[in-house]
Amino acid sequence: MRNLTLALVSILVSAGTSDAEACGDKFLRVGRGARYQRSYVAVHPARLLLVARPGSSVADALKELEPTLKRAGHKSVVVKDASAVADALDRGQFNIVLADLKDVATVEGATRTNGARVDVLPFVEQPTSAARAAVEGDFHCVAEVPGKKTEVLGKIDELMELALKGTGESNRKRP
Amino acid sequence: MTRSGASHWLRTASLGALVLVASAADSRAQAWLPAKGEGAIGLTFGDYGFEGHLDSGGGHVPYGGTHGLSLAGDITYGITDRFAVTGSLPFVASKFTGSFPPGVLLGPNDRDRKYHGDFQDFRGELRYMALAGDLAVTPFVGLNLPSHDYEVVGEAVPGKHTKELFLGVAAGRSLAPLLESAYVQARYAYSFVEKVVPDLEQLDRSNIDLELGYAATRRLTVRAFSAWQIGHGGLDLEDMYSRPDLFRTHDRAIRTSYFNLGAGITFLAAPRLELFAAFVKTIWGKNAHEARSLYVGAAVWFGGSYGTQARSAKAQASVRPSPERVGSEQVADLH
Repeated sequence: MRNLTLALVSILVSAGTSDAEACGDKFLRVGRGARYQRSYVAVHPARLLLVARPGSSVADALKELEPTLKRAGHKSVVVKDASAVADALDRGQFNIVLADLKDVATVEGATRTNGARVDVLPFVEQPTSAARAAVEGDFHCVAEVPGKKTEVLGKIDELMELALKGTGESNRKRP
Repeated sequence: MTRSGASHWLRTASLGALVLVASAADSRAQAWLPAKGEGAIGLTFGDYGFEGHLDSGGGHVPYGGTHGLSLAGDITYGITDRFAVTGSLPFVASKFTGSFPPGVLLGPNDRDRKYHGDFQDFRGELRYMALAGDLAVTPFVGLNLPSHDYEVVGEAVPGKHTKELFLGVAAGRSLAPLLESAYVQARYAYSFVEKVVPDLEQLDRSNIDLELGYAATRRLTVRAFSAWQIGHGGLDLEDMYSRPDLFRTHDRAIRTSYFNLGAGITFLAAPRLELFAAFVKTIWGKNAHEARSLYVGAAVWFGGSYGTQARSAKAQASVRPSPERVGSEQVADLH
């Protein structure tokens, strides 16, 4: 400290300038975090089964979502028919099945037969207000098409949290 | 092409690119990128202050205290699911609050001890997520370009007014299942800094950042982070003994190293609105500010839709009734 004082004084005397020193940044870039809660990163990485039945209006949307799911850290497998769900459940373990609402009954039948503890996230395409209310009466989480990718990822995390509670509660509100 | 011509071209091209792709900045590079078509516009208010400097031995020097207020706009956009561009431009108002030994003349913005505000530097960055998933690895390259010919002499100045090219890599990893809801990110960047002091060959630096985050709830993330800078060239404060001619530009010529620690929170106030705050303090440094700073801000996210083709198809099909429509009667079938 004393050295710098001397330096400052000696500079003043020897240089005789009218300006002081330049000084640097007054602003740091600190970021906002990894946007974890919006599922850039899956809070709970899951094994997902996507039922993209040809002809289903939801199929293209599910295929469109697949890279986003993978990017967030989920593992996903796509089957083209609800009837293929049973085989897929036999071959591997899954946490959640993403399927068109119209395929949910078939999917749930397969999970009951298999005995697997797999939840289902139904997708509905542009539902009417009445349809939306009806579906939300049956399920905690429902995804709409079209929708926001981050919202789907958030719903997957919600279902994973539900499963991790271990209370046996699932996405379906009533059996 | 002359050096000044090349410099002008580089600057023009870079600024043009930033405007054309509507990109530029989320503060620090992150390993995870926004989805294709998704982006955010952010605004960060900063309060940065220091009572003194740290000399080349890390000792406290009680001179040159300054207070800075900043407002930084930034935008980030996902061009593809793996390629994103960011950019930012801060406005910095700073005021000389400290002192120097008697006889030291102050800089032009320091004499009245009032805030002097100016735009600082454009900063643009291109990021490519080479590895995606729970482990993300993202190389990046960027430019820092002074927005205009702002004041650099004195303490109450917005920045260092140096052109910089930086490149590096960021990596992020979810800590599940070891620690559910947590992640860690690390980032290394090497900055090639414009030689603003004629006889100093190198003013480059390395920056190593580390961040640990935890999603306490789906709306609230808390994080702790460190920022370590290593100066690869330049002068020590004590070098001014023998180089008084460089003292006037000491912060542009100095070899600054420091270690900052910070903590922050990010709150999802609405589906597309984030609020965030962070506090940063210098723990150790050489030829550096002994600083503490506080940041608060907000970001609005846009885009990131899926299934829009279904909407288009539906609009076309609406001319004739479609059996695919999901109506209450179909929901009833599932009861």
